[in-house]
Amino acid sequence: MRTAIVMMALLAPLSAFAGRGGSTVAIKAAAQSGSADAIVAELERAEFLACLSCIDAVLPLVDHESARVRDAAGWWLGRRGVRSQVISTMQARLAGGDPVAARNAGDVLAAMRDYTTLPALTTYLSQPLDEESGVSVARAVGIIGHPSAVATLQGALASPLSGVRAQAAASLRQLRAPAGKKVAASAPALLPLLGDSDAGVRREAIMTLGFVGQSGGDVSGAVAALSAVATGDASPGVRKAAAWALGEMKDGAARPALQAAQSDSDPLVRSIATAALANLR
Amino acid sequence: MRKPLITLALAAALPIAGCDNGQTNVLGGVPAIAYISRTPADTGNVFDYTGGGTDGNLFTLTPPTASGVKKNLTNWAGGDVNALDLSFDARELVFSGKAPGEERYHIFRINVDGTNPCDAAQGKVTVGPCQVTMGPNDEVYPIYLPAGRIFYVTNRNVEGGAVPQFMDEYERATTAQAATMKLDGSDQILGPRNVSHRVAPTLLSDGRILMTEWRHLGDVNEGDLTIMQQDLTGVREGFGRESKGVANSYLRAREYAPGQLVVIGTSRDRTYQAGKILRVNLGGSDITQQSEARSSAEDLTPLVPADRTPSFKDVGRYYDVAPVPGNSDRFLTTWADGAVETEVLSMAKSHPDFGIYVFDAKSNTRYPIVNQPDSWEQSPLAIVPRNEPPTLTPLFAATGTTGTLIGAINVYDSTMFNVTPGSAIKVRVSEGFSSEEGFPGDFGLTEFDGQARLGEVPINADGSFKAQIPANTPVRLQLIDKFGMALATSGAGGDTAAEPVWIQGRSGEARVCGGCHEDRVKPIALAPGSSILQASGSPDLFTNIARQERRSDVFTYDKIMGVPWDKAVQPILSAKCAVCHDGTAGAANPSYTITDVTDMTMFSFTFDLSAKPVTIDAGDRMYTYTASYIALLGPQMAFREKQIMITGDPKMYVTPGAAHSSVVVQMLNPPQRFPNVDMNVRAFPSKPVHPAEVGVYNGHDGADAAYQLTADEYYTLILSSDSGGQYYARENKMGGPY
Repeated sequence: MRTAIVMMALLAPLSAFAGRGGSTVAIKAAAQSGSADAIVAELERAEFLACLSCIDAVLPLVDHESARVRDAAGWWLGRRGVRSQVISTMQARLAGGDPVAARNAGDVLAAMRDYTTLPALTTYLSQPLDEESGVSVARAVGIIGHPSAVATLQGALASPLSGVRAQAAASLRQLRAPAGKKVAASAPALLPLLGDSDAGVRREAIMTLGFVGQSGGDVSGAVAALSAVATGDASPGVRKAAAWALGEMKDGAARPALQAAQSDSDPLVRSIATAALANLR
Repeated sequence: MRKPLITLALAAALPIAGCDNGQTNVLGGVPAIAYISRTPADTGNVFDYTGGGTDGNLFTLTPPTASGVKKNLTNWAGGDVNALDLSFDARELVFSGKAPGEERYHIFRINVDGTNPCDAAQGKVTVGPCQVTMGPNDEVYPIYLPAGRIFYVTNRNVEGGAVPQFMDEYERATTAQAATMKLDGSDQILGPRNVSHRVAPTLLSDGRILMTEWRHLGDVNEGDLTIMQQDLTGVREGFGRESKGVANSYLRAREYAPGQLVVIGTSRDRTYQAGKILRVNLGGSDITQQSEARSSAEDLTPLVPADRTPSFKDVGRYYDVAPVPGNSDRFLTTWADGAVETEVLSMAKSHPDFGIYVFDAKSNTRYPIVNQPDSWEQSPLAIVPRNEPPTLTPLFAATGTTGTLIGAINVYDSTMFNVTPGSAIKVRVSEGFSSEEGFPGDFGLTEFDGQARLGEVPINADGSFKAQIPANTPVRLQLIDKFGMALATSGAGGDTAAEPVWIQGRSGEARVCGGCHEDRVKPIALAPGSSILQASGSPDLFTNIARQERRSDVFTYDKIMGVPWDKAVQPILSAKCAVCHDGTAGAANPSYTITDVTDMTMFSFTFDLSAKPVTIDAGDRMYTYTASYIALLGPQMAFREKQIMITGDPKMYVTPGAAHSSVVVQMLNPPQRFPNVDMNVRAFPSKPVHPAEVGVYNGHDGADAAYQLTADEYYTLILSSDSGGQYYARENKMGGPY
């Protein structure tokens, strides 16, 4: 049987097997090199590689300095026998006192996409140790994507940490819609963020409003609020986002605001407002 | 051994033209070039559409010589630029970039002289780029289309916000799909989804768009050249399939003469998206004669590795290539010397030093144009006007459906499969999806994507068929024999009449083929209004049903969609098979042991078709499935890349994707299903019908009616095998439907 397997590999066209050829040695060499590209490539090549000896090489990568590597390590470990052990370890980190460990746990759990970790992520998100770890966990909730996480993310919109609020607004876009609905997020929870003190929060909330609009979801009250932002926000990036979102909603009531935005002092706002105007009904 | 190789490489490496006073323009009459300058960063694999640099800016160099004048058009600090194109009149550039302070890549325009074209359209004269796309998605790789439109790729989902955009094969990245818009960013049209990325497009002189498409279905995993119409319809293969390829992936193709391309050929990963320069002939200049079968490639840089091995000094790798107008032997390239490979350079704490060169294919000489230390100069384009290709009209428009109309004039017309006329009864249509629907792990032990059968469509007496499928949905087609199995065949396309590729179409598009991979140079003449372009009379396969609702918990022939092993297959096995195949060693239950010779861990198994959970725990990959799934699909599939030793005689009972060659199907010997069920006519006439042939085993009579499968049960096992033998489907997804 083994002979047959080896022959299959030799006869197969080289080009068709980009995802093959992984080995413990290759993973270790890539990890030693420190190259995020090489590490990610080797982990992907080792997608179907069963090797106990790889575990010790990959486990430390959950704390690699590169988020891409942490993500790839979580994905790879999530397909192996240590999956439940890694999940337990990551959940324990979320209950601990080390914010870096918690950040990395968020990244790894995001890669594993196991909806059963949502309670632990939700608990952490209610009181994160710091902003970076809170952002990582809010991102994980979005990537897992389970529609039951709407309440978790809407709760995080009120976080005292602006990065967490922004990421929660962004993660709402990633949730799968409950059956029969077009989108998981809706305008009422997001509109208060248009007055947020942080421009990044305002921008992400607007992006999600625009996403809801282009998906045919509930954007009631959004056009008037976004019109005010498009012409009055202090941040050109926020004004630009608001102009775009109005275009996605296609509501002719946005026309005056978009026409005004065509004279914005920022050229990027002007051009986005022009495109948005053309999209209106 | 290594030393002679290096010597050989050095001896054969290309000469780089010597220094002059920097005044010689090796680009002939080209007055200027545009290019990108970026701070080096990891590029990711060839489909990574947002990696590769930071602090990018767009430059012109006038004249294109070492002493030419460099002009920074964007003057961004902390932004990035990653792809560009030149308008037909050579006055404007469109590029994808990340404006300072932004997190996502969008599309921008700027005039070659540095002024703002959007403001100019409003009667204002200003300097700098204008932005034409915005939002929470990335938009990259823009190219100009005729009639004032732009083609680009985006990770926005054409289906809307209910389900996230498709993820790639490794569930690692959100896929980039085709789209177009007007120059001002309005009227964005999203193309039908492929199951994976589409990147690096270029416009052919005939008006069609050619790009790199990541193909994966079953074992296939490669980046090939794919062609589509300007309205994002009519997707067809260009180059890289049908055993024509010389590398895994083909990237950043550019046409230098009708039907003639230059393209980078490389490994999928670890080469900074760089590789060798290939000339690709699509099959001649006449597009009616172009086909994958008639295509060919010429390696212009044979010393450059086609795989991911480190390149040698003076050989290096090429990141991109573009034609020099008026000279079919000279190309503008981005090149870096030495070992352009991630691991080697990372160990040296280094990056490749990409710079812009002219490559002369005739003399095998590289001429340096611009290469600054500590930055990448890349993606050069000659600033020269070119002819605007024609605006194309849609190939075939369907009438009477908001879905996509698929069809063939004669399914027996094929260059890939030898199929006896009359042997195919139906066409099975199955949709594909990936982990974005909420699957936390693999679909099972095989490499197939998630699948759901949308239906099976009768083939008419003349070999034609048609059906309506949901728009923007990748589907695969299988010809089905009278036993309900994907048809066994022979030929270059493999042993099953199912092309290993996903196809898709837009709303109202008619994807009509001459046959099943027919001779591509044979014209398909269909008059407008032809019956095959009309939805009338064709089965409607869920065209107006949302993706998350395309599922069925009824597993009869007419209702089954996904084949969830625990819900659809296991009840059959538990009721009719497990009474004998219960894991008790004996004639009906052979045992074997797999030893991982690397770790010397062992997995022992006795054939068992019960629902008992079994964990494969040899090596580090550990799966828990029902015993029946391990018995029929594994565990060999779990050890496919292992150095393993097997004692005993395990069989591969299921061949993923091919019921007809699956041992379990052959043993059970399914009955005729079409035109009517006939239990007396079996698929394998020379073989017995299990379990009747066994007689009495452990007190159970194999001929007992209680152990005979019904026609629908046979079909469920067939569909499971034909669909790739996966364990999970929408119907048994962990975490519920949504």
